[in-house]
Amino acid sequence: MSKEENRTPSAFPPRKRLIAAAVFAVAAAGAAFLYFHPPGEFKFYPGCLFFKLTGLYCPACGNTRALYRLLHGDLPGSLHMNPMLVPLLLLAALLFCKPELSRSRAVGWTAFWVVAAFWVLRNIPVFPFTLLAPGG
Amino acid sequence: MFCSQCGSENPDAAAFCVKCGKPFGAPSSAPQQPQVQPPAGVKPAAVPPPQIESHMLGAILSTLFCCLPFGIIAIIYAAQVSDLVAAGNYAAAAEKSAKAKNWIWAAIICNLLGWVITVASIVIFVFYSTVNA
Repeated sequence: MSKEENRTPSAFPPRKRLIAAAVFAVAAAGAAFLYFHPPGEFKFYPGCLFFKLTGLYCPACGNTRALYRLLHGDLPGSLHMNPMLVPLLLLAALLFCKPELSRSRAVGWTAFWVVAAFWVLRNIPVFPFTLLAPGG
Repeated sequence: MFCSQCGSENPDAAAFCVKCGKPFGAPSSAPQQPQVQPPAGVKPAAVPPPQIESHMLGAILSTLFCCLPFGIIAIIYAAQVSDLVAAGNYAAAAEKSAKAKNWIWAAIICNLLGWVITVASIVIFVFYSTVNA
């Protein structure tokens, strides 16, 4: 009886499974489209609104080009455009496989401080930091 | 006892949450159970904390793919959820959890809006160039 009550609910209740399936479907469709439409040749990608408004890079600037290169197996090229795409994708995969980690304070605050530091540093137009900017 | 849905505190004998009305299981099947002392050396199986979603996964994905700093705000709220859950403040954690979710949606909607404007401007451009040709 007490075992039955104390059992934690399934990590993926039906509603969450539906959301996960929708996210996967959109991601697969987006990735398939991106694979055949390189961001350099096709001008219709919206680009970063934050960059257009402020002239500063956001933490995700360069992600379209980075993901295009990653989809074509070009890991160095991907890191060149946005060095945070691959690590954050790995973290997302980890959180998806181990949902209890998303309640970890260490993981949460590390993710925040790394992304915040990355955001600031990639906007510094001096040599070592220019490596973090798109195409750097 | 804390509600597993909204995190608000309830009397232990309550059948429904005072705040959101979530039923706490059949009362007949839940007699008051004495706290069993776990054997020494074994990690005590604590009362399961209410499942408050931190939305960290969604926050990271929206930071990656929605290209707006809203995702970072969602990461801050998601991290605060884990702090508050660790501190046992489930009501405040539920509040932060809702805020994280709202910022994720804000990022998604802004991103979709960007795509709608992009597609609309392409359509208008193509329309005018064919009309002028």
